Amino acid sequence: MKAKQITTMALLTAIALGLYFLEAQLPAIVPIPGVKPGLANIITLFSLYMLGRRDTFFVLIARILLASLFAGHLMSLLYSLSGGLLCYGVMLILFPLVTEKQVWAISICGAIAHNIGQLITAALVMGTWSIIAYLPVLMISAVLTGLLTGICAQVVISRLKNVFIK
Amino acid sequence: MKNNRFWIIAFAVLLCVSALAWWFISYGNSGTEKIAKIYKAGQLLYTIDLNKVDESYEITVGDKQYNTILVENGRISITSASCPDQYCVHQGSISGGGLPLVCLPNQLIIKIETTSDDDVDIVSY
Repeated sequence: MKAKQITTMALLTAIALGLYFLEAQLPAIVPIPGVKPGLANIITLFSLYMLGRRDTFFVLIARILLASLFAGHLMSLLYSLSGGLLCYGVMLILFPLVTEKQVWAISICGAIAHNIGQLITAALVMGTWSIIAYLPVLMISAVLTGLLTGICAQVVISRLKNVFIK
Repeated sequence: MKNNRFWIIAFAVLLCVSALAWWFISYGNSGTEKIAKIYKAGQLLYTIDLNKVDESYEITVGDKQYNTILVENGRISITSASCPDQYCVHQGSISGGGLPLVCLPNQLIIKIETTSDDDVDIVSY
């Protein structure tokens, strides 16, 4: 792997980490676990379009591992991994099927997948499927926050795609 | 899938369906039975018939990672907890409906069932 490539991936990981911790400082809008802006997904999307699938996977895993390391809870690692991997998988499958004007839609799909992944993990940890009752509100949250981060990612990608050199 | 209209419609439908489902889950359930079940780390710890509660009392679940649960007639809520985000405390009380009280860091979930086929007042396991 070239040094420039590694540096770019490290830089994106750092930005994603920064965004993740920034939004952790924001007070929650509703006391429902899983409703959050999801800003780090902007980086995942950007990386998917600019660096490709494999490098994005590494950036994602590195960010999740480091964030859980700094946060200090093993449980958060479990939730982050399940949400993050499902989100990545869904975005991976969908992004070749759409144009660059649909990045916002891919972001929402990723957000939906992320919340579903975390909800399933929560149900398995809790030992009861009752927590599925939160699915509707999490879907609404996913659409809204996914739209926000998706628009950000789409704008950044369209502005930088001509100047970003891998 | 390559035009925006498809996605706009799809997400609008999802939003409407979700809003309806949420309304239904929160307010649709109205049985007279109120059996509260408290789960910790996958284990059912307590089953409480909220209709048979005369005087309110508190249960503390867990020691270092604890939640203090207030059991009242017809209602149950979490009044204090050790978790960093305190979502469970801010969720208020539930007295029916489909939404449970959850504390993810402490792996605690409290749900109310409005039908039940045992008639115990309180059981601990």
